[in-house]
Amino acid sequence: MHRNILVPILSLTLSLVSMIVMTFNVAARQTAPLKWQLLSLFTIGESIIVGFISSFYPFKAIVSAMLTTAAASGSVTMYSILQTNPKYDLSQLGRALTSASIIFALYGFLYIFFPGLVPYSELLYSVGGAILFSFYLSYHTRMIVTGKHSKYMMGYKDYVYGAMTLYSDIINMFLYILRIIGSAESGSNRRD
Amino acid sequence: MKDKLKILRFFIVSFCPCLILANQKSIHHSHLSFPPTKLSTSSFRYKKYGHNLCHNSSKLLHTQWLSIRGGSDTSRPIWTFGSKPTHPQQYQQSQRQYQQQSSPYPIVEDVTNEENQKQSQVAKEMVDSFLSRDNRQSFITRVYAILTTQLLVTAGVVLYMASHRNIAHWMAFEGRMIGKLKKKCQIISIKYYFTILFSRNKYASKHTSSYPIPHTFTR
Repeated sequence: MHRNILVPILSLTLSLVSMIVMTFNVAARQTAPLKWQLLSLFTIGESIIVGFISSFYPFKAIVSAMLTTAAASGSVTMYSILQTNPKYDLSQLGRALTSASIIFALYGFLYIFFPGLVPYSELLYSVGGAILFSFYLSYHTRMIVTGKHSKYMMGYKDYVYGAMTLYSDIINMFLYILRIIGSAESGSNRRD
Repeated sequence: MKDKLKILRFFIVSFCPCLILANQKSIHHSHLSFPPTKLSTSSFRYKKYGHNLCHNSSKLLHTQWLSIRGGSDTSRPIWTFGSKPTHPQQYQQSQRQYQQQSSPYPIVEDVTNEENQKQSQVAKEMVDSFLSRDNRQSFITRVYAILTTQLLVTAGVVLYMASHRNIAHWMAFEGRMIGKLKKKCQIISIKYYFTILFSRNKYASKHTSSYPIPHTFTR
Protein backbone atom coordinates (compact mmCIF):
# COMPACT_ATOMS: atom_id res chain seq x y z
CA MET A 1 0.00 0.00 0.00
CA HIS A 2 1.31 3.39 -0.96
CA ARG A 3 2.14 5.54 2.04
CA ASN A 4 1.49 9.24 1.58
CA ILE A 5 1.38 11.32 4.75
CA LEU A 6 1.30 14.71 3.13
CA VAL A 7 -1.73 16.02 5.05
CA PRO A 8 -0.29 15.50 8.55
CA ILE A 9 3.09 16.87 7.49
CA LEU A 10 1.43 19.84 5.80
CA SER A 11 -0.64 20.55 8.91
CA LEU A 12 2.41 20.25 11.14
CA THR A 13 4.37 22.61 8.87
CA LEU A 14 1.47 25.09 8.80
CA SER A 15 1.13 25.17 12.55
CA LEU A 16 4.89 25.37 13.07
CA VAL A 17 5.33 28.19 10.57
CA SER A 18 2.45 30.21 12.03
CA MET A 19 3.81 29.71 15.56
CA ILE A 20 7.31 30.76 14.49
CA VAL A 21 5.99 33.83 12.67
CA MET A 22 3.91 34.83 15.68
CA THR A 23 6.85 34.32 18.03
CA PHE A 24 9.44 36.30 16.14
CA ASN A 25 7.34 39.00 14.50
CA VAL A 26 5.69 41.53 16.78
CA ALA A 27 3.61 43.03 13.96
CA ALA A 28 2.26 39.61 13.02
CA ARG A 29 0.94 38.95 16.50
CA GLN A 30 -0.52 42.44 16.95
CA THR A 31 -1.85 43.38 13.51
CA ALA A 32 -5.56 42.67 13.33
CA PRO A 33 -6.22 40.56 10.21
CA LEU A 34 -2.92 38.73 10.16
CA LYS A 35 -3.00 37.48 13.75
CA TRP A 36 -6.44 35.93 13.28
CA GLN A 37 -5.37 34.27 10.04
CA LEU A 38 -2.26 32.84 11.67
CA LEU A 39 -4.29 31.72 14.68
CA SER A 40 -6.77 29.93 12.42
CA LEU A 41 -3.99 28.24 10.48
CA PHE A 42 -2.29 27.19 13.69
CA THR A 43 -5.47 25.82 15.25
CA ILE A 44 -6.54 23.92 12.14
CA GLY A 45 -3.06 22.48 11.62
CA GLU A 46 -2.72 21.41 15.24
CA SER A 47 -6.22 19.94 15.29
CA ILE A 48 -5.52 17.82 12.22
CA ILE A 49 -2.18 16.58 13.49
CA VAL A 50 -3.53 15.82 16.97
CA GLY A 51 -6.56 14.08 15.48
CA PHE A 52 -4.29 12.06 13.20
CA ILE A 53 -2.03 11.00 16.10
CA SER A 54 -4.88 10.20 18.46
CA SER A 55 -6.67 8.09 15.84
CA PHE A 56 -3.98 5.43 16.36
CA TYR A 57 -5.11 4.96 19.97
CA PRO A 58 -8.33 3.35 21.20
CA PHE A 59 -11.32 5.62 21.69
CA LYS A 60 -11.47 4.91 25.42
CA ALA A 61 -7.85 5.96 25.87
CA ILE A 62 -8.51 9.21 23.98
CA VAL A 63 -11.48 10.12 26.14
CA SER A 64 -9.68 9.29 29.39
CA ALA A 65 -6.61 11.27 28.20
CA MET A 66 -8.84 14.23 27.40
CA LEU A 67 -10.45 14.10 30.83
CA THR A 68 -7.09 13.72 32.57
CA THR A 69 -5.65 16.63 30.60
CA ALA A 70 -8.67 18.79 31.43
CA ALA A 71 -8.33 18.00 35.14
CA ALA A 72 -4.54 18.54 35.14
CA SER A 73 -4.62 21.77 33.15
CA GLY A 74 -7.53 23.07 35.23
CA SER A 75 -5.74 22.41 38.51
CA VAL A 76 -2.46 23.90 37.22
CA THR A 77 -4.29 26.99 35.96
CA MET A 78 -6.16 27.43 39.22
CA TYR A 79 -2.94 27.07 41.19
CA SER A 80 -1.21 29.65 38.99
CA ILE A 81 -4.08 32.12 39.26
CA LEU A 82 -4.71 31.75 42.98
CA GLN A 83 -1.08 31.55 44.07
CA THR A 84 -0.20 35.12 45.03
CA ASN A 85 2.88 34.35 47.08
CA PRO A 86 5.90 35.67 45.12
CA LYS A 87 8.02 32.93 46.65
CA TYR A 88 6.19 30.41 44.45
CA ASP A 89 5.94 32.68 41.43
CA LEU A 90 6.79 30.51 38.44
CA SER A 91 7.12 33.40 35.99
CA GLN A 92 10.86 33.57 36.75
CA LEU A 93 11.45 29.96 35.72
CA GLY A 94 11.75 30.78 32.02
CA ARG A 95 15.44 29.98 31.63
CA ALA A 96 15.23 26.81 33.71
CA LEU A 97 12.30 25.59 31.62
CA THR A 98 14.14 26.41 28.41
CA SER A 99 17.18 24.41 29.47
CA ALA A 100 14.99 21.52 30.65
CA SER A 101 13.15 21.45 27.33
CA ILE A 102 16.44 21.53 25.39
CA ILE A 103 17.71 18.54 27.41
CA PHE A 104 14.40 16.77 26.87
CA ALA A 105 14.46 17.39 23.12
CA LEU A 106 18.12 16.31 22.83
CA TYR A 107 17.32 13.12 24.69
CA GLY A 108 14.47 12.43 22.29
CA PHE A 109 16.65 13.10 19.23
CA LEU A 110 19.38 10.84 20.62
CA TYR A 111 16.87 8.06 21.05
CA ILE A 112 15.50 8.54 17.52
CA PHE A 113 18.87 8.64 15.72
CA PHE A 114 20.95 6.40 18.03
CA PRO A 115 18.45 4.02 19.61
CA GLY A 116 20.91 1.93 21.60
CA LEU A 117 22.98 4.82 22.89
CA VAL A 118 20.75 6.04 25.71
CA PRO A 119 18.47 4.10 28.03
CA TYR A 120 14.90 4.82 27.09
CA SER A 121 11.54 4.08 28.61
CA GLU A 122 8.41 5.20 26.81
CA LEU A 123 6.53 5.61 30.05
CA LEU A 124 9.24 7.63 31.80
CA TYR A 125 9.76 9.84 28.76
CA SER A 126 6.04 10.53 28.52
CA VAL A 127 5.79 11.28 32.25
CA GLY A 128 8.75 13.67 31.94
CA GLY A 129 7.11 15.40 28.97
CA ALA A 130 3.79 15.76 30.76
CA ILE A 131 5.50 17.24 33.84
CA LEU A 132 7.57 19.62 31.71
CA PHE A 133 4.54 20.92 29.85
CA SER A 134 2.52 21.27 33.03
CA PHE A 135 5.32 23.52 34.30
CA TYR A 136 5.20 25.40 31.01
CA LEU A 137 1.44 25.79 31.36
CA SER A 138 1.87 27.19 34.84
CA TYR A 139 4.62 29.55 33.65
CA HIS A 140 2.59 30.87 30.72
CA THR A 141 -0.54 31.24 32.86
CA ARG A 142 1.45 33.24 35.35
CA MET A 143 2.78 35.44 32.55
CA ILE A 144 -0.78 36.13 31.44
CA VAL A 145 -2.63 36.61 34.71
CA THR A 146 0.16 38.26 36.65
CA GLY A 147 -0.16 41.70 38.21
CA LYS A 148 1.95 44.81 37.97
CA HIS A 149 4.37 43.78 40.71
CA SER A 150 5.63 40.87 38.71
CA LYS A 151 8.97 41.02 36.93
CA TYR A 152 7.81 39.43 33.69
CA MET A 153 4.40 39.69 32.06
CA MET A 154 2.83 39.37 28.65
CA GLY A 155 1.85 42.51 26.75
CA TYR A 156 -1.87 43.28 26.64
CA LYS A 157 -1.88 43.31 22.83
CA ASP A 158 -0.50 39.77 22.65
CA TYR A 159 -3.68 37.98 23.69
CA VAL A 160 -3.68 35.83 20.55
CA TYR A 161 -0.12 34.77 21.17
CA GLY A 162 -0.91 34.11 24.84
CA ALA A 163 -3.81 31.86 23.86
CA MET A 164 -1.56 30.05 21.38
CA THR A 165 1.10 29.35 23.99
CA LEU A 166 -1.45 28.00 26.47
CA TYR A 167 -3.06 25.93 23.75
CA SER A 168 0.23 24.39 22.64
CA ASP A 169 1.09 23.54 26.28
CA ILE A 170 -2.27 21.84 26.81
CA ILE A 171 -2.02 19.97 23.51
CA ASN A 172 1.47 18.72 24.30
CA MET A 173 0.32 17.65 27.74
CA PHE A 174 -2.60 15.81 26.15
CA LEU A 175 -0.32 13.99 23.71
CA TYR A 176 2.05 12.83 26.46
CA ILE A 177 -0.84 11.72 28.70
CA LEU A 178 -2.32 9.89 25.71
CA ARG A 179 1.00 8.12 25.23
CA ILE A 180 1.05 7.11 28.91
CA ILE A 181 -2.54 5.85 28.87
CA GLY A 182 -2.12 4.24 25.47
CA SER A 183 1.01 2.35 26.48
CA ALA A 184 -0.67 1.25 29.73
CA GLU A 185 -3.75 0.01 27.83
CA SER A 186 -1.69 -1.80 25.19
CA GLY A 187 0.28 -3.44 28.04
CA SER A 188 -2.90 -4.61 29.72
CA ASN A 189 -4.27 -5.90 26.38
CA ARG A 190 -1.08 -7.89 25.84
CA ARG A 191 -1.40 -9.42 29.34
CA ASP A 192 -5.01 -10.40 28.61
CA MET B 1 38.47 85.92 24.24
CA LYS B 2 38.64 82.30 23.14
CA ASP B 3 42.40 82.23 23.65
CA LYS B 4 42.03 83.57 27.14
CA LEU B 5 39.46 80.98 27.93
CA LYS B 6 41.72 78.28 26.58
CA ILE B 7 44.59 79.47 28.74
CA LEU B 8 42.36 79.57 31.78
CA ARG B 9 41.08 76.12 31.01
CA PHE B 10 44.61 74.81 30.61
CA PHE B 11 45.58 76.35 33.94
CA ILE B 12 42.62 74.89 35.76
CA VAL B 13 42.94 71.46 34.26
CA SER B 14 46.68 71.05 34.56
CA PHE B 15 47.53 72.82 37.83
CA CYS B 16 44.51 72.30 39.98
CA PRO B 17 43.53 68.62 40.03
CA CYS B 18 42.16 69.05 43.51
CA LEU B 19 39.91 71.75 42.26
CA ILE B 20 38.61 69.43 39.57
CA LEU B 21 37.93 66.75 42.10
CA ALA B 22 36.11 69.21 44.28
CA ASN B 23 34.17 70.47 41.33
CA GLN B 24 33.19 66.97 40.21
CA LYS B 25 31.97 66.35 43.69
CA SER B 26 30.05 69.59 43.65
CA ILE B 27 27.99 68.39 40.68
CA HIS B 28 26.32 65.88 42.92
CA HIS B 29 25.62 68.45 45.65
CA SER B 30 22.69 70.49 44.52
CA HIS B 31 22.68 72.67 47.62
CA LEU B 32 25.64 74.79 46.60
CA SER B 33 25.28 78.53 46.77
CA PHE B 34 26.54 79.09 43.24
CA PRO B 35 25.53 77.35 40.06
CA PRO B 36 27.36 74.10 39.48
CA THR B 37 30.24 74.57 37.07
CA LYS B 38 31.31 71.54 35.12
CA LEU B 39 35.01 71.41 34.30
CA SER B 40 34.51 68.78 31.71
CA THR B 41 36.52 68.54 28.51
CA SER B 42 33.33 68.94 26.50
CA SER B 43 33.25 71.69 23.92
CA PHE B 44 29.86 72.76 25.24
CA ARG B 45 31.41 74.06 28.43
CA TYR B 46 32.28 77.47 27.06
CA LYS B 47 28.95 77.77 25.37
CA LYS B 48 27.20 77.14 28.62
CA TYR B 49 29.18 79.33 30.92
CA GLY B 50 30.81 81.61 28.37
CA HIS B 51 30.99 85.00 30.04
CA ASN B 52 30.61 83.66 33.56
CA LEU B 53 33.59 81.39 33.55
CA CYS B 54 35.99 83.81 35.26
CA HIS B 55 33.40 84.70 37.83
CA ASN B 56 32.60 81.07 38.52
CA SER B 57 36.19 79.99 38.76
CA SER B 58 36.95 82.79 41.20
CA LYS B 59 34.00 81.63 43.27
CA LEU B 60 35.36 78.15 43.07
CA LEU B 61 38.69 79.29 44.33
CA HIS B 62 37.11 81.15 47.21
CA THR B 63 34.71 78.47 48.32
CA GLN B 64 35.76 75.02 47.24
CA TRP B 65 39.45 75.35 47.67
CA LEU B 66 39.05 76.76 51.13
CA SER B 67 36.59 74.14 52.18
CA ILE B 68 38.97 71.38 51.08
CA ARG B 69 41.57 72.74 53.41
CA GLY B 70 39.14 72.99 56.24
CA GLY B 71 38.64 76.73 56.58
CA SER B 72 37.30 78.30 59.68
CA ASP B 73 34.01 76.48 59.72
CA THR B 74 34.08 74.28 62.81
CA SER B 75 30.68 72.71 62.15
CA ARG B 76 31.97 70.75 59.18
CA PRO B 77 34.75 68.15 59.19
CA ILE B 78 37.99 68.96 57.43
CA TRP B 79 37.69 66.41 54.66
CA THR B 80 34.31 67.46 53.28
CA PHE B 81 34.00 68.86 49.80
CA GLY B 82 31.83 71.68 48.68
CA SER B 83 30.72 74.86 50.34
CA LYS B 84 28.31 75.31 53.19
CA PRO B 85 24.74 74.27 52.48
CA THR B 86 22.56 77.30 52.03
CA HIS B 87 18.91 77.93 52.55
CA PRO B 88 16.69 76.66 49.70
CA GLN B 89 15.31 80.15 49.06
CA GLN B 90 18.84 81.54 48.70
CA TYR B 91 19.68 78.76 46.35
CA GLN B 92 16.61 79.41 44.22
CA GLN B 93 17.43 83.13 44.14
CA SER B 94 20.97 82.42 43.04
CA GLN B 95 19.66 80.03 40.44
CA ARG B 96 17.39 82.74 39.05
CA GLN B 97 20.27 85.21 38.97
CA TYR B 98 22.43 82.71 37.23
CA GLN B 99 19.77 82.03 34.62
CA GLN B 100 19.38 85.75 34.00
CA GLN B 101 23.13 86.16 33.61
CA SER B 102 23.62 83.17 31.39
CA SER B 103 22.92 83.04 27.69
CA PRO B 104 19.28 83.13 26.53
CA TYR B 105 19.76 80.09 24.34
CA PRO B 106 18.70 76.71 25.72
CA ILE B 107 21.50 74.72 27.26
CA VAL B 108 22.16 71.33 25.74
CA GLU B 109 21.95 69.61 29.07
CA ASP B 110 18.61 71.24 29.88
CA VAL B 111 17.18 70.21 26.52
CA THR B 112 18.23 66.60 27.04
CA ASN B 113 16.82 66.69 30.56
CA GLU B 114 13.51 67.96 29.27
CA GLU B 115 13.45 65.28 26.61
CA ASN B 116 14.27 62.64 29.18
CA GLN B 117 11.51 63.91 31.44
CA LYS B 118 9.03 63.85 28.57
CA GLN B 119 10.09 60.36 27.59
CA SER B 120 9.86 59.09 31.14
CA GLN B 121 6.43 60.69 31.49
CA VAL B 122 5.22 59.05 28.30
CA ALA B 123 6.65 55.71 29.41
CA LYS B 124 4.98 56.08 32.79
CA GLU B 125 1.63 56.84 31.17
CA MET B 126 2.01 53.83 28.90
CA VAL B 127 2.90 51.56 31.81
CA ASP B 128 -0.01 52.93 33.87
CA SER B 129 -2.46 52.36 31.04
CA PHE B 130 -0.98 48.93 30.44
CA LEU B 131 -1.25 47.95 34.06
CA SER B 132 -4.74 49.20 34.66
CA ARG B 133 -7.03 46.52 35.99
CA ASP B 134 -9.64 46.86 33.23
CA ASN B 135 -7.08 46.30 30.49
CA ARG B 136 -5.66 43.30 32.25
CA GLN B 137 -9.08 41.80 32.87
CA SER B 138 -10.09 42.23 29.25
CA PHE B 139 -6.75 40.75 28.16
CA ILE B 140 -7.24 37.66 30.34
CA THR B 141 -10.85 37.28 29.17
CA ARG B 142 -9.79 37.45 25.52
CA VAL B 143 -6.99 34.92 26.05
CA TYR B 144 -9.26 32.40 27.70
CA ALA B 145 -12.06 32.95 25.19
CA ILE B 146 -9.67 32.23 22.30
CA LEU B 147 -8.22 29.26 24.15
CA THR B 148 -11.66 27.79 24.80
CA THR B 149 -12.56 28.12 21.12
CA GLN B 150 -9.31 26.49 20.06
CA LEU B 151 -9.75 23.61 22.51
CA LEU B 152 -13.35 23.04 21.44
CA VAL B 153 -12.34 22.91 17.76
CA THR B 154 -9.50 20.51 18.55
CA ALA B 155 -11.66 18.29 20.74
CA GLY B 156 -14.28 18.14 17.99
CA VAL B 157 -11.72 17.21 15.32
CA VAL B 158 -10.05 14.64 17.60
CA LEU B 159 -13.31 12.96 18.56
CA TYR B 160 -14.52 12.96 14.95
CA MET B 161 -11.29 11.43 13.69
CA ALA B 162 -11.26 8.93 16.55
CA SER B 163 -14.78 7.78 15.69
CA HIS B 164 -14.14 7.77 11.92
CA ARG B 165 -10.87 5.91 11.59
CA ASN B 166 -11.10 5.73 7.82
CA ILE B 167 -10.17 9.43 7.56
CA ALA B 168 -6.83 8.84 9.29
CA HIS B 169 -6.34 5.73 7.20
CA TRP B 170 -7.02 7.72 4.04
CA MET B 171 -4.60 10.39 5.21
CA ALA B 172 -1.89 7.86 5.94
CA PHE B 173 -2.18 5.49 3.00
CA GLU B 174 -4.67 6.49 0.31
CA GLY B 175 -4.15 10.14 -0.34
CA ARG B 176 -4.04 9.84 -4.11
CA MET B 177 -5.78 13.14 -4.66
CA ILE B 178 -3.21 14.71 -2.36
CA GLY B 179 -0.43 13.37 -4.54
CA LYS B 180 -1.99 14.94 -7.63
CA LEU B 181 -2.56 18.15 -5.72
CA LYS B 182 1.07 18.15 -4.65
CA LYS B 183 2.27 17.86 -8.25
CA LYS B 184 -0.10 20.59 -9.35
CA CYS B 185 1.08 22.83 -6.50
CA GLN B 186 4.70 22.25 -7.49
CA ILE B 187 4.00 23.12 -11.12
CA ILE B 188 2.03 26.22 -10.19
CA SER B 189 4.69 27.45 -7.78
CA ILE B 190 7.48 26.99 -10.33
CA LYS B 191 5.39 28.72 -12.98
CA TYR B 192 4.60 31.55 -10.63
CA TYR B 193 8.24 31.96 -9.68
CA PHE B 194 9.39 32.22 -13.28
CA THR B 195 6.56 34.57 -14.19
CA ILE B 196 7.50 36.88 -11.36
CA LEU B 197 11.15 36.64 -12.24
CA PHE B 198 10.79 37.56 -15.91
CA SER B 199 7.92 39.99 -15.75
CA ARG B 200 9.20 41.97 -12.75
CA ASN B 201 10.78 44.74 -14.77
CA LYS B 202 7.99 44.75 -17.29
CA TYR B 203 5.20 45.17 -14.77
CA ALA B 204 7.03 47.23 -12.18
CA SER B 205 6.40 50.55 -13.87
CA LYS B 206 2.75 50.11 -14.79
CA HIS B 207 1.16 47.59 -12.46
CA THR B 208 1.38 46.48 -8.88
CA SER B 209 3.60 43.60 -7.89
CA SER B 210 0.60 41.30 -7.30
CA TYR B 211 -0.59 41.59 -10.91
CA PRO B 212 1.27 38.48 -12.18
CA ILE B 213 -0.65 36.22 -9.78
CA PRO B 214 -3.98 36.20 -11.70
CA HIS B 215 -1.94 36.23 -14.90
CA THR B 216 -0.32 32.96 -13.86
CA PHE B 217 -3.46 31.23 -12.71
CA THR B 218 -5.67 32.23 -15.61
CA ARG B 219 -3.24 31.16 -18.25
